[in-house]
Amino acid sequence: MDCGELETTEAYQLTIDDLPNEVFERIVSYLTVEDCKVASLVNYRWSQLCFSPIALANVQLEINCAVLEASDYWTVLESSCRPYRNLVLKFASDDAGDLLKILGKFQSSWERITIEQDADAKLLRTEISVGFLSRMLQAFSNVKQLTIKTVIELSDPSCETDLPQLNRVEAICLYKNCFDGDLIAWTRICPNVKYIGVPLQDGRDEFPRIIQHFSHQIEHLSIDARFIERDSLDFVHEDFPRLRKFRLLYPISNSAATVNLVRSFISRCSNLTEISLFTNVISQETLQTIAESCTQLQVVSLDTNEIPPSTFSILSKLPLLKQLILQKMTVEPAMITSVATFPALRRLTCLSIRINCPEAFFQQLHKKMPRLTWLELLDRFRYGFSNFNQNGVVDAICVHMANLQRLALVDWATLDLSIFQNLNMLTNLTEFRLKCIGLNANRTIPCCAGVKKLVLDVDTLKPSDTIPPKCHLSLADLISQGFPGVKSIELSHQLLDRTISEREIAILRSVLTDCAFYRRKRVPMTDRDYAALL
Amino acid sequence: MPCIQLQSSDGEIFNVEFEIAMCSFTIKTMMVDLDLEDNCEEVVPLTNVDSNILRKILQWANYHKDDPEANPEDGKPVDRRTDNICEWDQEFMKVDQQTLYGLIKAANYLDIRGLMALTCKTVANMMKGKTEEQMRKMFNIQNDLTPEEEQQIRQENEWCEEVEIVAD
Repeated sequence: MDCGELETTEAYQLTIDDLPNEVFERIVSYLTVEDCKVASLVNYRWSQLCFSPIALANVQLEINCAVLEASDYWTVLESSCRPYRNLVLKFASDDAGDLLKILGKFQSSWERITIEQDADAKLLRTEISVGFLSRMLQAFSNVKQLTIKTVIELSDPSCETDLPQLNRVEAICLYKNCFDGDLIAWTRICPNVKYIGVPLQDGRDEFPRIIQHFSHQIEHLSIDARFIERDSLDFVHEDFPRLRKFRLLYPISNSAATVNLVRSFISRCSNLTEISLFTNVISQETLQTIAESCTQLQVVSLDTNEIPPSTFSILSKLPLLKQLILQKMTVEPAMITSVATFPALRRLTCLSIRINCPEAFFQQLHKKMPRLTWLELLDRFRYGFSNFNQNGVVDAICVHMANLQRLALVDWATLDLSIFQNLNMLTNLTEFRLKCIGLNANRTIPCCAGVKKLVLDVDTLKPSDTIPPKCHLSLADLISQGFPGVKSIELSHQLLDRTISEREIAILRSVLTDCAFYRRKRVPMTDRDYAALL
Repeated sequence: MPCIQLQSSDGEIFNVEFEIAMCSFTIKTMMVDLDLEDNCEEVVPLTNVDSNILRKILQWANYHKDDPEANPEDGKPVDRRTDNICEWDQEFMKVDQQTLYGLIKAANYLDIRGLMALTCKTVANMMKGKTEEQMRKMFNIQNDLTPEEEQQIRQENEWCEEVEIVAD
């Protein structure tokens, strides 16, 4: 962009601040949240416009009363000009009423509210009065999605107050023990829900009742049945004519009776586009039922310790399957050798998967999944069977998966850069994500000129023992040599040592002048949080 | 090929093919309202657009005349990508900031959606991944925030995180 001297002699020159507000808001709507944060500090006008309602669709405000008092939040938010839409709220009580003030201020703009526990579990339980609950729900009158992931107790459960009705709520997600007892008539409060996520618990009848009550209108259903001991799942007898997404965490007992009931339920859900099952062992019969009855499926997610050898063979029959998510199991080449090709599969996500004979496995995968362009291998839950330094997985991918455009690797280990020695064989690669404890800089990454987007979350960069420290590669060297065509780099906030990385990023900025840099608190490795209930 | 005459703010008259002029919803509406569709004699004055800008716009409209019409209300998620600018457009956008803002104002006034998206994305790309000081320098802006205001913004920003979007 040439923004040098202008030849015009006119006294007045147009600047960006001559653009009308709505045009400026349109421009900033293309920015990421990180960019908006920076832009909001440029001058007063930008501070007022950068977080427009469009931009705020992608922003969540977090109020964490384990960190700051509600009154501190209110002091700042009282004069806020941003119509916040999404809120994550962590609180134990609100004696001074400051939270209600905040909730009330943004009443007309709230769309998604999540009430959850803080990470350090300082706010173990939340206690509120019925009156408070009523006023809180009033502030949620425009909310479309309500999630309660913490224990909330009522201090005066016998108090009779009519709770407001939330007609806009489409999605409700309730967690174990979120309100004890049968005090809150969710079916009356949220009469228009289409997406439901609930746990099943022994002695709690209200959750099955919610499902039953809404069975005719539910489109997404997510059930966590891990906590029930009795061997019955009431919901499986209902019909859900509109159901498109179904997620089930099976009861731990996983008895044959339960498995058969669920199978019969799935066979009646012919409109499903997404299914996600979490169970100890998944049977061949269940998989066959899925493949034969749910021919509209686009996403299949299996989280299980054991899969039948025929899994890939059965799932390859799904004509529309776009994404397959596998978790915790062991896979091997024999499972895929004699399989028909997957017609539509574009994305494969493996979480804590043990891959036996990766060389042969990925060679087969390349043949059987010809449209696969996106591969994610995540070891997020630390089941770590072996890390990428030893198992040859990365090299097998580089050598055999030439169609890949996006690759994400997560490992809880310090990785040797030498495992990426063939990364440049992925000539179609445009996006590379890497999250690991550290990197041993014992070798450069070969030049991957096609990579446009780089996401890096690494705590340390160590010189290897095999090269003298003075030769050790800097982050700037690594990136500018390995990925010279990169246009966007996302780095974690705590990347390396802050002081070193700031200096290196300054160097990188001067080398890669055409590249956007982002620092994030949390570097997303996938576009979906698989742990989320809905 | 039927034509229409457009007059820029500095008096220059452009003979423009009907089809090309129609990329502007403002002109389109004007034509229908004034019943000019069969009348090529009439000159349409564009009091907000000077000849330099109008010439650029017509060049852009000519190149894009066969593009499918964008329909913003078709239920698709809003396109927030800025890395999907075609090569011709990238070349076309190599102008000074004065011209760029002129194009944006004109595209906004004339309601040319494709050009509006292109120009806004171009400005957004100039902002992306920069520090606030780099942005001020890029756009020649003075910081007029008081320390208190700045503190308020930093505090609010601290509590804001990106929502993870489920990508297709």
